[in-house]
Amino acid sequence: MNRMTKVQWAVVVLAFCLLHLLIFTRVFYSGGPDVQGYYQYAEKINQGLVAYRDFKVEYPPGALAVFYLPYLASGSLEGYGTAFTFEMLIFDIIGMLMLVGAARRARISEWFALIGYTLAMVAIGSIMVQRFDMIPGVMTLGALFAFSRGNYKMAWCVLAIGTMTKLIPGLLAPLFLIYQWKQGGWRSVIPGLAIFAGVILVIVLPFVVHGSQGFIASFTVQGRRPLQLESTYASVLLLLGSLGLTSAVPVQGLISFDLASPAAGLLAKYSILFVGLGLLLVYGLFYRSLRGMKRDEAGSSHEMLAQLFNYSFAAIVVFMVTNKVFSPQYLVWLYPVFPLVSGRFRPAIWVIYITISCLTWYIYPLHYYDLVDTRQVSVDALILRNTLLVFLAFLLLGEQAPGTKTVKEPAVISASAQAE
Amino acid sequence: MPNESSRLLLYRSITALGVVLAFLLILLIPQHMREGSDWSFQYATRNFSLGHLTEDGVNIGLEESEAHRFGGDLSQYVFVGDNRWALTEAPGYIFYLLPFYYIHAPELGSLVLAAGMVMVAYLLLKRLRDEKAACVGSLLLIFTPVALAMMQRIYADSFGATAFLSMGGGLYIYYCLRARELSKRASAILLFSAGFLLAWGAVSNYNNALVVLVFAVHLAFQFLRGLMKKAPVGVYPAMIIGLAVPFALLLIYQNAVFGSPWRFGFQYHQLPLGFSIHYFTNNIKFVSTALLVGFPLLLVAGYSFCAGVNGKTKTFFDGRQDAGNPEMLPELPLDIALLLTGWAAAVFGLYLNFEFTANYQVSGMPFIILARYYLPAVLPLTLAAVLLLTRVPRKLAVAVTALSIIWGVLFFAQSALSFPLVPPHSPYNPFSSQLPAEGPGVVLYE
Repeated sequence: MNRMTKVQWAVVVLAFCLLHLLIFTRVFYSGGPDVQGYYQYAEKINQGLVAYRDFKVEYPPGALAVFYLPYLASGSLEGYGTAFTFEMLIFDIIGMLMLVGAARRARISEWFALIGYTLAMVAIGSIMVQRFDMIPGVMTLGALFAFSRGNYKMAWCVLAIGTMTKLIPGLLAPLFLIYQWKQGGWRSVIPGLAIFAGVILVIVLPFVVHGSQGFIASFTVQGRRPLQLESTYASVLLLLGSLGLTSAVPVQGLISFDLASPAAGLLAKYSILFVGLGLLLVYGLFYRSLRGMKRDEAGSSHEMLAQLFNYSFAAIVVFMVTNKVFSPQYLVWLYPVFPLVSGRFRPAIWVIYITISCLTWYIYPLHYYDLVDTRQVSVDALILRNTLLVFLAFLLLGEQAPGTKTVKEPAVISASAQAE
Repeated sequence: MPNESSRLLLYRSITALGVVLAFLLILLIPQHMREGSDWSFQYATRNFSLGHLTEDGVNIGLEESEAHRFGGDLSQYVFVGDNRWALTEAPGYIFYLLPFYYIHAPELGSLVLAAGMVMVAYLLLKRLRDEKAACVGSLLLIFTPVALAMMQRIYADSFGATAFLSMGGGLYIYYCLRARELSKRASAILLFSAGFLLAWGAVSNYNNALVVLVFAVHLAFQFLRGLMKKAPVGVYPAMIIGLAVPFALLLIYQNAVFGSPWRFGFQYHQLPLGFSIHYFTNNIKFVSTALLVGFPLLLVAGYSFCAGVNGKTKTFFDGRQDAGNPEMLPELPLDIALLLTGWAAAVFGLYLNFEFTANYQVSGMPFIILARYYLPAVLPLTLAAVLLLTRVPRKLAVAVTALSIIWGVLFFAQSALSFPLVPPHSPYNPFSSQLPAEGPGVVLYE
């Protein structure tokens, strides 16, 4: 790449950064009850209290650092909200820079990546600055970025930190395992695994030592949650309820609005099975897609990188579809990786993801209490959103293996591709 | 591998089966009186069948109280002076329904129109693409949730007016695609039928006149182009006659009912049924989700319109030919692509400025209440969606088609089985026969 092109790209990326800054600070509404909760955590940490022992925390330990950093900038709630917004913005911009690099390595158009990143941000809405899920999302991207550059140890390290911020990035660990095994055999996997385990241990150990019960409870409380109102299972029950085939009534739970229905308990109990099966399917398909590749081919193949990005996205989508809880901020996990998705179905995936994001924003915060009151349009919006999410999962898993024209651009793209 | 004729038979059989399934769905769930227009049209049909285009105050009062007993109202009847009450809506659909009403089978009216609409769509898509696209398109058309739901509401004019418009518009486009192959006689019959059906669509729902205007503009364009290229234009008057006949009948009706051919029912009503750009933002907010639920292929169609028209316009100005380039939809001439876009734009452009659906109080109501106004655009949306679906990978096309059909059935059922306005023991409640008896004094209508 010559000097002029580098400068031009720097200007383009800077322009996008400024656009994100504008939207984050001028368009999105910051604050909210969750940010207040984070502020309270930060206050308690500042008072010298020990998490998990002296106060309950429902997140992994890494999240505490995320909550505490804005507190260093401002001790007041209002100032904290602003600082939190800027914290999310910084990670957003870091994500953007990594995205461009990762797209380049996978031979995906950088323009598409930047435009997709921005479109997705706008579609998701203010929840980007009202929750901290941007950070595990960007860490997922960070791990993928490091992987794409062949820096596997760094990738495992970032993945471990991300997992300790919110467990979601951990879904990628089996994919990294399979990829590295394919590249360099089982021996090459051991250092990465050791780093992953070691980093987690280093983060977790102090809290386990000082408050093991509280630490374990922070995980088990999630497992005991009933069927949440916005989950895929709940939307099926709500649909059946609207057809008069069962009863499905939203109720206020301890953490969220849940669904009371004859089948809700059973679905909540066995959802972990579906999560496991769904993820096994993703990992199995990824393994199968690599099976035909020779070891020395896998190393530098941009097609393999594209597959890794696709299956990473798919793993998170499948988790969201099969989990018994679906909070609106979960879409933020997909946001940094979404522009890297490629393949025959990319245009459809883009449209579906943007639509899902818009519908999620419609449901929360715009019409959440209409949903709780089971007003039909809001219920239908939820059903539509979750149907599209399931369809998205099928599309992602229906992509062909590399070596069989995986990343070929679909012929249907005409005007939009020409506008690039 | 099956030969060509077996495949054709397969596609036609699938289409026929799909239509039969749609009919069964409509008939299995009994007629459901959801809104004021259903009640008004039902009573209007009865009144028209007795030769009463208007009713006096006493009779309308009796009908109103009878409807009210069963949870309905005659909000579409208005006072027009001289102790007379008349229907605000256009009467075309009621006149169409009368023969079926006389044989005590009003539901057949919807089914006949549905069959006609599917046949025209099949013919058109077969010409545009192939039999497979025709099969897919016909199924997607009939299983659109809003289409199924309104087909089931046999006294509401939405489906009827849409069907007339779709048949007329479809036949016109079919003629344009085959103009050079048809004889003068066949062309004249086709154009007359197209014009008549298009106009009857407007005579069944006044707001469809905007769509008819789009076709009129295209016809004028074709006529002028024919004159400039010295091509035969003698058949075009057949369409003008076809358009004129229903409008002439409408003027006669309006003169009889309102005292002047240029007066119509909406000039007397008090309901929030106006149009203004002020309502655009609220409509976007309140109606978008209802539209996505009611028209699952809306996004696909929207993308197809944008990509197709954009690509064709670029090609036009570049002077290139788009034949052979599948991305440019070569089977669809630019003027037809623009016509279809104009058709959809006329509907969406009008109703996105509609007062009633911009009202916050309707924003949480079932999707059918908001989305039914956009039903007249169902054929261009389906055509655009199908032309795109035939170009994407087969698995994706099959998945989208299957999902759309399942979605259509489920959301039709949801709409048909939810009754926010009808009391439990009303005979218009589909499940009223399964409820314990409420007590004496309930008089069944008819």
